[in-house]
Amino acid sequence: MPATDQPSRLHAAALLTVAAVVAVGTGELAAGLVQAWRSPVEAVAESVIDRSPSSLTRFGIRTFGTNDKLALVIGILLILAVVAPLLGVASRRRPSLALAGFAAFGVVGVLASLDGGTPWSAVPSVAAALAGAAVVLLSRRVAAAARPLASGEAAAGPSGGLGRRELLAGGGALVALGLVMAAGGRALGTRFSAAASRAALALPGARRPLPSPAPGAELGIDGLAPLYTPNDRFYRIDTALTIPQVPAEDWTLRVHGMVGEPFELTFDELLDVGLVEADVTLTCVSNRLGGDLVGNARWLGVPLRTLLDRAGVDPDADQIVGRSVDGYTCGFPLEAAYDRTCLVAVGMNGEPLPLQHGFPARLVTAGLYGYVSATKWLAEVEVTRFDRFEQYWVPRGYASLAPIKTMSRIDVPRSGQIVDAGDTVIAGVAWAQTRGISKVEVRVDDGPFVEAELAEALGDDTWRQWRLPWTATAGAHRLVVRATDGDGRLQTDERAEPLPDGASGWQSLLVTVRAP
Amino acid sequence: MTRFRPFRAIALALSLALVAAACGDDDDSAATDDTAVEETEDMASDDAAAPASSAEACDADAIVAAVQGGADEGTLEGMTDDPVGTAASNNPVLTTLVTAVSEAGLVDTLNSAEALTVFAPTDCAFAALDPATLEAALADPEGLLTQVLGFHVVAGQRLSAADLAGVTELETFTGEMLPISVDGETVTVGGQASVVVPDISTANATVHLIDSVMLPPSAG
Repeated sequence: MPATDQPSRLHAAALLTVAAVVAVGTGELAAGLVQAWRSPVEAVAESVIDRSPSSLTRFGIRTFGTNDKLALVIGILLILAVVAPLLGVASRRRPSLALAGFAAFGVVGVLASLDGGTPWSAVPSVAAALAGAAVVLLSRRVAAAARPLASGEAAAGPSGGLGRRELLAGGGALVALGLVMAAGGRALGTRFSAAASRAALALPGARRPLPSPAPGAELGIDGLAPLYTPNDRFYRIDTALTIPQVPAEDWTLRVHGMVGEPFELTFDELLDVGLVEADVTLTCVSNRLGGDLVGNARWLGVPLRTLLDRAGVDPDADQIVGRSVDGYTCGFPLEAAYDRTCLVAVGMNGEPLPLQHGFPARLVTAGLYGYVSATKWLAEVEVTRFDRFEQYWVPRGYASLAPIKTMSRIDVPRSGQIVDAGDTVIAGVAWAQTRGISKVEVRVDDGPFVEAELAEALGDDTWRQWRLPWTATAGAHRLVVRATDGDGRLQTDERAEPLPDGASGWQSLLVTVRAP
Repeated sequence: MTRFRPFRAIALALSLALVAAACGDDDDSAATDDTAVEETEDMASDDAAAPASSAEACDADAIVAAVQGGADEGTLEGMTDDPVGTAASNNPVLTTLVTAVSEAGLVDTLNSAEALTVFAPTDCAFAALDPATLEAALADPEGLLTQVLGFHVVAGQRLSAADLAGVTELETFTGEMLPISVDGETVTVGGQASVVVPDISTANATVHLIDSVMLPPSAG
């Protein structure tokens, strides 16, 4: 039996749960007030993802799919839902435990918020902890005030004073308040969306626009990847929990590190530097043989070298680090900013960058896998050295130098498609950015490799379409494709998985041909 | 009787490497149907001990136990989700199938297909196959083996167990027709195999584990 001056287990558990709801609600509401203020729950989730061993991250990815981050947020809320009542029960004998619990969660929230944020990011976490503690203290005061009234009654409630009804009403009201605050905060937060900024943005053209691609660059075969990948079908790979919302008006780019004169640019100042256009095919290191994590676009942006020259690069530097607003970093050799297309891009296929592709600005570097060279929502360009800084994916097992491997892919016929016998066509794309494609060959079954017809090249930095007429005979056939780059080097047939520096091998496809 | 068991669903989803993609492209980010695994089962025990060999994991409980006991978390590589060929290679009860698919040179084909329904014979199913047949198939990887494996794959659509109730036959990868019959909770495929664990989602395929290797009509 609990002592009479102690609340019942149920009451204690319920009290802390209510306080936790109010705390979370307060945190969300605060996060909705100022853009830089971060939601404690989201901050912890992001921090967990960033700090997880990569095997654990992959566990999350595989288990929860695209919802892995949402699942993590729900998981955190569930943990709170379990810990809060337990803490409540434990605090019956040691009341200070309840306050210590909120202090502890507050500290976790603050630390997570500071992780990649500014000191102000932690405001909602502090507010949340204070709100939770306030609910606990207030309820004790109310209970203390009520106790004398109830002390003479034999049937004093299990809570030590207040009746069940008042407790339920008070607790219910507080829970409702917490939920309303959380919902309100989330709703308020949507006004930070960068969509309005993007919609209002009219980008100037390039000083010397690229000509339209030659008609022969696009073979126009049904099922073949189009020469330019539409923005809404362009692959998306990043580590962002939610798409960072960065209005162009609020954006700045800091160029710093091993430079003579570090500086900061606004978006308008960046545009004033002068824009160029470039066709570049981006490729994800995770792209498998035959995979679709590759896409081609016409980019509009400022050559990175122009900005570097303005800052004056220290001759000892050898690495460019691109840091996003959410703390992601890529890193690539300094010389890539000078010996190839390397842009701070603001436009993609004739429009401002879509939000999920890095609005308002990102890096685009030809010939290097995206994880080392293509930071989205770019906030900083830091000039440094490889021996001084490791980019995001390197401690997670990926290579620090990651040039794109020569690769070819069969798009037509599709894998699994059953083809009618007769005259048909095999077609696809091949890429070896910065080197170009000089030859694509296809082997059918045990036959020789036959050279395919190449579409006109858009440039050495983009993929190139190819086609090969084929008289298909009934039965199962195996198609194998391989490419040769512009330097005359044949694509390696050594099969490798994406980790650590990109997949390799010749794609092989089984095709079933139906008798006429 | 069908029961939903969240713990098993999670265990399966985890260990069979089934799911979509933090890193998937925009197009197929919606490709994952669900991770819930509903199972037909007739064993009462939840705690079947992990079998000594994957070939002994024959019913749903034993498969789950094997998967839980055998998952090797650190081996999965890549920032993207896994397409079916890769996903299967992380499943402890599909080792023979994975070897066969690799021998037949079908990994790219399975991985790069847009939508597949795969009837995957477990190691238990392969153990029950006439050894002479298995040997003959492995000796002719681009012929008989490909024919047999192709008979287990339907291209162009991802069919759940519920979808299968609405069909009587499906055209397989190699063009041969695969009869389907559903009687209550029992899904019979090719007149030769039953679905043991249905509706496992990978990035590009819906996989049903089956208890026998099916031989296509063309294989005699």
